[in-house]
Amino acid sequence: MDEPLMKATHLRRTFGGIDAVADVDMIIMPHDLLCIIGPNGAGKSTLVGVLSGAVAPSSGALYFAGESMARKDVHQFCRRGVVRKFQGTNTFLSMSVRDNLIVAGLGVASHRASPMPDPEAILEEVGLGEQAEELAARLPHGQRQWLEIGMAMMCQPALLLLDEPAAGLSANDAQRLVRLIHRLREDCAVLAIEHDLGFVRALECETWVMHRGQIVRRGTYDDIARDEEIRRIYLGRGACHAAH
Amino acid sequence: MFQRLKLHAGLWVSQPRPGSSDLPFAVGWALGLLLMLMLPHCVAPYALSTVRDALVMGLLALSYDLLWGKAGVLTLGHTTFLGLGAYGFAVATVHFGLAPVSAILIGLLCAGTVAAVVGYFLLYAGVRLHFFAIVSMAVLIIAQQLATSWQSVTGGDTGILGIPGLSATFAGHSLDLSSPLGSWYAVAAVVLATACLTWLACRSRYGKVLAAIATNEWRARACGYHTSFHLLRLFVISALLAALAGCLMAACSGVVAPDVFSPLLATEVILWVAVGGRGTLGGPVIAAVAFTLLKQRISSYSTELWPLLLGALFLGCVLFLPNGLRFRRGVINLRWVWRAMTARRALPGARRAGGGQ
Repeated sequence: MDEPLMKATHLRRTFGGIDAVADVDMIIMPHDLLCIIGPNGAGKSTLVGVLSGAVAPSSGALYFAGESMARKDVHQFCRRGVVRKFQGTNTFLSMSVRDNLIVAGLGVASHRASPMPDPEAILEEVGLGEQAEELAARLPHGQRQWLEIGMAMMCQPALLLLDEPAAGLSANDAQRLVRLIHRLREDCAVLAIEHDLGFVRALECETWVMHRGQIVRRGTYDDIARDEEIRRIYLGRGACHAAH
Repeated sequence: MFQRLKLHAGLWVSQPRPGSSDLPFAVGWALGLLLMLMLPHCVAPYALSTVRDALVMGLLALSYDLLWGKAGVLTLGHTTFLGLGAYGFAVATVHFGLAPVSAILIGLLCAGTVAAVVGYFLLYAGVRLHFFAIVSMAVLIIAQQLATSWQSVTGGDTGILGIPGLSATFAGHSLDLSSPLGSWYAVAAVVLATACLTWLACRSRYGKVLAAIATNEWRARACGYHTSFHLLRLFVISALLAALAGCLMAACSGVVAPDVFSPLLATEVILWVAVGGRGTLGGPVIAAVAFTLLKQRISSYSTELWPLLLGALFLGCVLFLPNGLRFRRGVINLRWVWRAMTARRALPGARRAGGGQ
């Protein structure tokens, strides 16, 4: 059995007395693909924040490739391979799409022996080849999502954290994204948090349900969908595609 | 190890292919070179020395544009480093009798050390924007107080007089640059060389990283950049350039007084960069030279007029020219206004899509 890529024990993060993340234990193996779903305010974003180093945990331990990540900054997480894809507005807006990718790749590449990924190849892969010279600020929301994904790929991730990757994507784009995520999984582990249950179903992966800061169920999407209690928490509230 | 270092250096300094966006700077630089060679033949020595002193201020503007224009670090006390460089040079030459070349190193060392210490405690603690600007102003005022009250070293209010001009000795050959002509060539060459180097640095991938940190520092951190370290390095480099301007100023004018630390001059630096166009490198240099010459002309009529005029200019610049005098951008903006006036458009609804959760 391989060593786990990321391991969290009793992870907790409180905001003013409320546990956004309450006592989460998790193990992510290399090449894992898993999705975390849950209603608004379940603590999914905070969990991704803690796993990516953006939010310091209030207590608990976090290990990446056997190394304790306590008191490490975001940039140190990124250099070690924990890369987060933000929700689409967090790019370098005043720069061109290609420069966004180059800047994203350079930070990690200058600390690794391996060369920087080729920005042109990634531009093609995320389908922004035509817009390479366009300013990031001029891109429509859907394409900015692809740019974000491309920037995350430039960082040579070992664990890719996707924060609502399908938000704002068309049905076609979502399908393309599912294929891309399965392709990426050959190189790295992927953890996605997602609202769009149709997208989660299409990913066909291990699915965890988060509720009130805890992971309450772990299983395949079909198991989760059949679970009565989960229906009550989340799925049963009218719309299946719990959009915002 | 060395191989890896070479590989990484190649990553950082790699330059894009020359394109049309390089044209304004390249043309401006070539004109500057021409001016450096031609001007001594066109004007009298006194006028030449006036332009030379203004050009030293151009170097100061360049150093500030690197910091504020390229990396978005606003300070209100950039002249601290100009003054430290000037005083360092003056004390080293007058009190310790060092040669000008080593005195320049002393001046740079003074400013660099102060910049590194102040920058470390502020930037690593996450102090940014106006908080940083206010603390830098405080540092300037402390430096000003020191310059007036530490009389045994700084000469108090009168400052230090009789600073020798530039000269250098290399392997028996001595090069005297203290004459008006010599110091003109020295200053112009330093300004042109520094402008070219900073331009190349900003044009490289490293410049893109700086621009990225300036636009979205948090995102840059998430790309694996230790942004505080990058900003600190740039702050120190900028301070060194300002100190170099200070050394040249002291050597050319032969005197340094506490008014180099005056808040008025620190404000002027910001105005030069704002009017010349933030981040254009060439613009602030031209603005600094023009404004310094203008200041001398106006001060000969009335000394009170200049601060008043400066304040009015500053207000006007903030209100009407937030991006400085940029000819190309100006034309594009006019076109926008024209289009907006001639075509009725629906309100852009794409704004809404920005937010996620």
